[in-house]
Amino acid sequence: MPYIPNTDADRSEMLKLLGLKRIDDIFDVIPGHVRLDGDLKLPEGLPESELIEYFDFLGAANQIFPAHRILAGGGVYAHFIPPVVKELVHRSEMYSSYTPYQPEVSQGMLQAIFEYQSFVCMLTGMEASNASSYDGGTALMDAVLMAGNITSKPRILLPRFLNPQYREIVETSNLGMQLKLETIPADSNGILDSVALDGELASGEVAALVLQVPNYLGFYEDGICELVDMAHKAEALVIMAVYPFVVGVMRTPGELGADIVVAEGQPLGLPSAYGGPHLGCLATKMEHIRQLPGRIVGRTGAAFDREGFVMTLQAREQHIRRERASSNICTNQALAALQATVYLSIVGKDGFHKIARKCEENAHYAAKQLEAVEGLHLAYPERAFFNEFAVVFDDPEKLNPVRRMLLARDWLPGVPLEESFPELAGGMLLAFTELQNRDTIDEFVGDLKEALNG
Amino acid sequence: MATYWFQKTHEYIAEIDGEYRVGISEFAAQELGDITFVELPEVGATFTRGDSFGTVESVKAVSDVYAPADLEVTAVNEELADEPEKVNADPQGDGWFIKAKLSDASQLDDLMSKADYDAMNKEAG
Amino acid sequence: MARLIFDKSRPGSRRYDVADFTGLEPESPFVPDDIRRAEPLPLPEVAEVDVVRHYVKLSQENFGVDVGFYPLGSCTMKYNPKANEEIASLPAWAQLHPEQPVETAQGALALMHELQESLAEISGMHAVSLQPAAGAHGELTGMLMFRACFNDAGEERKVMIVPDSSHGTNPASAAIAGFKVAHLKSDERGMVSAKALKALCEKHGEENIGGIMMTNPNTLGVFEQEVKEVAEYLHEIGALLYYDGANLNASLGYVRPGDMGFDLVHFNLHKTFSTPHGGGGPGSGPVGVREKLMPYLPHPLVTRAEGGFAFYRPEKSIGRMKLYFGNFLVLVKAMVYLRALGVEGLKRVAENAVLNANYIQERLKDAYDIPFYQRCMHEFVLSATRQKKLGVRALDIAKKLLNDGFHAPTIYFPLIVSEAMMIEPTETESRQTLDAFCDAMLRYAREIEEDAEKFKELPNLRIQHLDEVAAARNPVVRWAPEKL
Repeated sequence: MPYIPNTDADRSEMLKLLGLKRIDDIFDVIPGHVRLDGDLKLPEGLPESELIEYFDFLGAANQIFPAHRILAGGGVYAHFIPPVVKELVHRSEMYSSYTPYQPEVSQGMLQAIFEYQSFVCMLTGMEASNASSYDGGTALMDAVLMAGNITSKPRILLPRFLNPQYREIVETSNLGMQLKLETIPADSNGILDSVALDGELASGEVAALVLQVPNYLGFYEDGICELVDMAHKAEALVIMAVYPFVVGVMRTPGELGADIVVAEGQPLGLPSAYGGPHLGCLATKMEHIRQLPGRIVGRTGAAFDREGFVMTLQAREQHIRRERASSNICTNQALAALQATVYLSIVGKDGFHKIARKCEENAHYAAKQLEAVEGLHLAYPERAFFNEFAVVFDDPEKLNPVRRMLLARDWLPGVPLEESFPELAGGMLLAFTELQNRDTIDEFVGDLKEALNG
Repeated sequence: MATYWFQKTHEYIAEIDGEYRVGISEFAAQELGDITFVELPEVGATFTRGDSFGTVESVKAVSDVYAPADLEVTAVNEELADEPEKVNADPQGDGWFIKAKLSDASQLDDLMSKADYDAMNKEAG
Repeated sequence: MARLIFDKSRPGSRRYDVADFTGLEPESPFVPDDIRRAEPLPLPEVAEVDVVRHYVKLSQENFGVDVGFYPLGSCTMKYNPKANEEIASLPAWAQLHPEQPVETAQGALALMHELQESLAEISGMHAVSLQPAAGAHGELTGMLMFRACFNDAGEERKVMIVPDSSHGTNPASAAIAGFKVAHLKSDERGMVSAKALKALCEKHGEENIGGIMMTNPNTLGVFEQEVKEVAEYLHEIGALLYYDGANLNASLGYVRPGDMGFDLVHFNLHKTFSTPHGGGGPGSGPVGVREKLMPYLPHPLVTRAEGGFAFYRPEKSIGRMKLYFGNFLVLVKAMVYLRALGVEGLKRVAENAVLNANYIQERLKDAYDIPFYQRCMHEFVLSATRQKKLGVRALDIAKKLLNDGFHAPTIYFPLIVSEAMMIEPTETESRQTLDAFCDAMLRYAREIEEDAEKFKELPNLRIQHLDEVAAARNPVVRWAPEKL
């Protein structure tokens, strides 16, 4: 049997010590009336050679697009991952370890998480980061729960163009929290309705205003600084959900006034992996650190030759505070956090800046070319955007046939928008990263034109 | 001159110069070990006897602190925010948690004297 | 002084190239003036070779299953087969984009469908959602489903019962889902007794009881003898039973939560199904349910459809717990493992896990106190009370083990055992390894009796006596450039 090293001789000697004859006897303590009668209905095991063949066979039913031809984003982006990142994350001393509860033999992971927290603070402009949440969506749920606890107020304001899955995650978890979730509508230019926002804030019951930067449709909300001011004047917190690379060209959320920042860390060196494992980044100001859920690593001095790292402020957590913990999170995404840490170390100051600039330049070049295409238009041409924007076909019926033709030419076209945003029927969200160049974008625009006219 | 009363959950209340102070006993401070954080209520908050009015944390434990009588908080010991170690150093002095106004001072009669409290701990120990 | 990656930064030492720019002349900057960044973000600049050395060195300061014996109770630190890792890193899985049309991701859907079905069979449940990202996330999913089910029936049912030996995540998850937690005291066998449970339910009013969260075998490694009676009683009063699957390794192929009467179960794929813990995650915590709860499962679920597989949303779904479909690559690894083992292999896992635990317990039972001594399942809990009287605590013994090249057991849990040391060897350890561990533990017991102070010397442990108190009083949780 694979992975079980005891020999038959071992087993019989061990059983002898226990005074048992057969291996089955070891389950005597399970009452007969709950024991499984017969065998599980599962297939026989496979030797590794056949195992790999079987999964190759299954995997062949997936279409894998060349990374530079992936124009779908919506929260998950095809950035380049330098091979060195994968190599380092596969160090099995790291991936085969448990949560570093015993710091004497876990300094490697603890230091890596401390570095991760430092990187997240740099990116978000915050002072304290947890060791990771599951993903950007659950990190927003954590942030919303935090805001409710910090302010003891019941209302949370969500912007119209929040990632629809983020919204759904918050709504689902709220089944138990009973916060009041309200949506701030937007006008036809994509500008959030400040009158509605004012009205909500005037209730005095608002715990937090959530802003996504850039928002789900890729653009910067109009007047972010004013929106933040309005919320703060009403003593509401501001939660910002950001795409990490936007900070390559934009001031940090902390500089813009955010109190809690969440981010999906997938763009930082993690493969798209059909949606997971990804990485939830969650950070806040020092004054709120005790409401911050999840593990936190702290730096300390040691009695002997060096300082070290420990998990700290554990009294917030479920294994000590039980039903009154700031969250129920235990297992997090530590290895993904390590991966983002290694990635950020590898791209460094130079790479981070260049990648962010290239993303926005590619997207703006593409937008300019697409604007000139007959039969489609940009959904919000007046709004400034980062690396992603929505285009709408004048004839919504064209969307599906065009997508099919693009797929056939090995493009993964953008996310269709109608289901979440009915006003954008015939629309799709196109994302660009550092992986395209002028030629690929020209080729895409050419293929799209052909598909549209064909 | 100060008078101390104690309750089973290891809080004390002391009358010092006509003012009531609440904190945790020397015995409790020692049992908890190194205290790392004290969470205190806002001034003006009111609590009924037996309510939890705050928490005290060590590295691997957290405990509630319960009001020994019906009270209104008139001051909190702000220094504990930066120096929680004061609770270990002098729990029944500088390490007090809150100052309070009592609505019914006769409730103090239900609490233990220092001698009774010490006897209780000795028996349990 | 630990040197952080930030300390190794030298301006200009790292150039990172991206493909040439498109040559677009920006008519105006792309970012609005009031939020535009003036200078590049001050990330470190470290040459690739130095980054590699930095993280390789960190990995050398970390203990994993691949380094040595890791008998961390409740955590199931079994060997992580390398075939799992290899297959999950193939482009067919790792490069798949979650926004691909389902017809271009049929391999992934087929894999998820097979995993859903396999987990349902293993647990005796009717349907499985793969979405939760971790055990605690599965617990929250389950609690929200209980809540939705009661809301639907117009019932309040605010109380969730949690045995005092439970994992801390259980009460925390119940609380977030809006339940009030009632703690049930274990009986003298360390078990849930149907009689005590009934008394507790009556105290809170049977009509208010939402259910119970149980682990079986429980955190003492003991199989709950009255589980069937507990289930029958709770179902009679309209309550539901939650099975915390943290300890499922003990029962694979021998006993199923569904047959014990549980309505909902979460799995820890990163425990039972050999996907690595990753230093704390990512895990995966699928939930399985009986018919009654099927309509409430989070979406999307995978189902068979004409010509392949499709996603669907159950009619009364609580919604979505996480982005997309769960920690997908973890699902791939678990499926590889299941396929490698097959029906017989799973039984061998349970047999050897239980045999190994009992073997250690038997060898150590005279040298240490075992408060609930009986046949254990995949783990057991010993108590260092005898040693504490001599001045040595469970923590000291744990550190001695670390000093001698073993990972330490879980200590001070469950809370109902003083000076607890919870030992779970798993099936992937050989008798030789177990003997080496037992020999060390027996030697410690003797050394403590001879000279407790000398015992506490730890010559091999480079890092010790970290000041956790100072770290908590004055938290330093990040490095920041001095300029800030």
